[in-house]
Amino acid sequence: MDIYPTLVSEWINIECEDEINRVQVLSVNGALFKDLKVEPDKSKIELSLSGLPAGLYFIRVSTAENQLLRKVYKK
Amino acid sequence: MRSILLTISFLVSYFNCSAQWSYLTEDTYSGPLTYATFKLHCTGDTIIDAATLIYNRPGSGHIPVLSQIGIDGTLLDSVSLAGAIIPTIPVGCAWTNDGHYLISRDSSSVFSSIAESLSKELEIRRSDNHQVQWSLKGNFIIPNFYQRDVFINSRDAFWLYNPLKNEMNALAITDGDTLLTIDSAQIASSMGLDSTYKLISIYIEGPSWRKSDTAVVFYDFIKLDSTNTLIDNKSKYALVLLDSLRPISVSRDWNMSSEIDYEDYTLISSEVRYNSNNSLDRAVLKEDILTGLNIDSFEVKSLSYNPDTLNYNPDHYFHFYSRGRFSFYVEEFDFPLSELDTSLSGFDIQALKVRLYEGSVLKYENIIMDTSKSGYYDTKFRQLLPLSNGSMALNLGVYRIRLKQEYYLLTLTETTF
Repeated sequence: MDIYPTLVSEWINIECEDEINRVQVLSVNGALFKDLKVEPDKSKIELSLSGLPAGLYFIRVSTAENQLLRKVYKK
Repeated sequence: MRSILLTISFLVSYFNCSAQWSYLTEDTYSGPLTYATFKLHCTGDTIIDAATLIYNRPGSGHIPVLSQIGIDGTLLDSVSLAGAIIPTIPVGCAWTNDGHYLISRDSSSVFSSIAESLSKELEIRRSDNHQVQWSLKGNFIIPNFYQRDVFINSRDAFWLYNPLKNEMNALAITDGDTLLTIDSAQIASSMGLDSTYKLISIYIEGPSWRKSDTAVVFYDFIKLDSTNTLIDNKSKYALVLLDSLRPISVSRDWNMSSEIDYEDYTLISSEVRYNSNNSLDRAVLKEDILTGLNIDSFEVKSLSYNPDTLNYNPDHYFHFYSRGRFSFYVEEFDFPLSELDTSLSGFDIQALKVRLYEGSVLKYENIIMDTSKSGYYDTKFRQLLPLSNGSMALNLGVYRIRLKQEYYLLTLTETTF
């Protein structure tokens, strides 16, 4: 899985080997800011973080068989 | 299983090629509700030229199976992973050089906290009898490594990243004991930064086809003021010894493409080159990471370039891999069905173009798509493992109306056209 860039102005790219089911954006304290269900057959998506205050976030990606977490900073 | 080959249409462009691929082994799965997951792995230096895979097949539940296949197509070993100490579906697998393999699994499918999302379980097994040697559970991220969930280096240790403590931990293959812990300040210092720069992400790139004592490590750092406002950021990469993450090259700024590959002391990346006739090509570059000097390059004719917008289509992706003198370039693109059937004008399906270069010479080019049964299906790239002598293991997903996963083991054969 690849999530880039780590320093996000607005758009973040998420690429997985497997089909992406769900993407969540959480603060480092666990507060849920975004919760998106992804349409079928998508293994690569772009996600906008516009409107979120600057700071550290976890991007949580759920595929059919896996849950992945990455840390990013929203500028 | 070989009948599946009939369902794949290969449109071959010959150019000046003098070689072609043949298929040694393949497997496939189609299912209406879920899909198989083939995960291909190279087994390193001690089990040379073998690939392994895990696949999950629904029936009375998922049945994870681990198979080992030689590059001659021979099935060497196969074992069910069901009923293991941790009876859930493996999400990652990696092999050591001394006859062990490591499996990672998610601890929970329910999210209620950051810690729970980070919770994973690991178990190490002997490859000769598949007996579990030890297992552990913890909250960590496994650094990205060729989209594999577990990375093991040749010193028989592996690295985990704890984002809550912001530190890297090296664990021993033999017993899971922590061998080394490196915190954010130590990592920043190793890249020539002071401790006010905090580590935010780490990527480890090693050879995709064997284990190595060295790798290229990419770090992102941020520097925040007292109100947690970003005041600076740095992205650095360096060649490191994998047992300690100690740099053995100078650290350099990182602003390259995310599509990179690494062989011993050589970093392979790409850039877009503007030609005098206003066309664009993607050039593959090989950099001696110790000196920072480019030592080789060759151009590939990129299909994803859109001449109307002068941009690369963001919906298309490319991947390249290197092994010795061979380079593999894979690009996803929309194939117009009108080239197969004029009544289908305006309809595209996703296909792959796979090229093999020996040095800078194009040896072979192949368009891979699935037009089986009554419809046309997107063929998406999942994995490629370069094997010896220009052969490769290719992992594909076929989507749209049905969901299908396939893998192939291909070898290059010399043919004069």
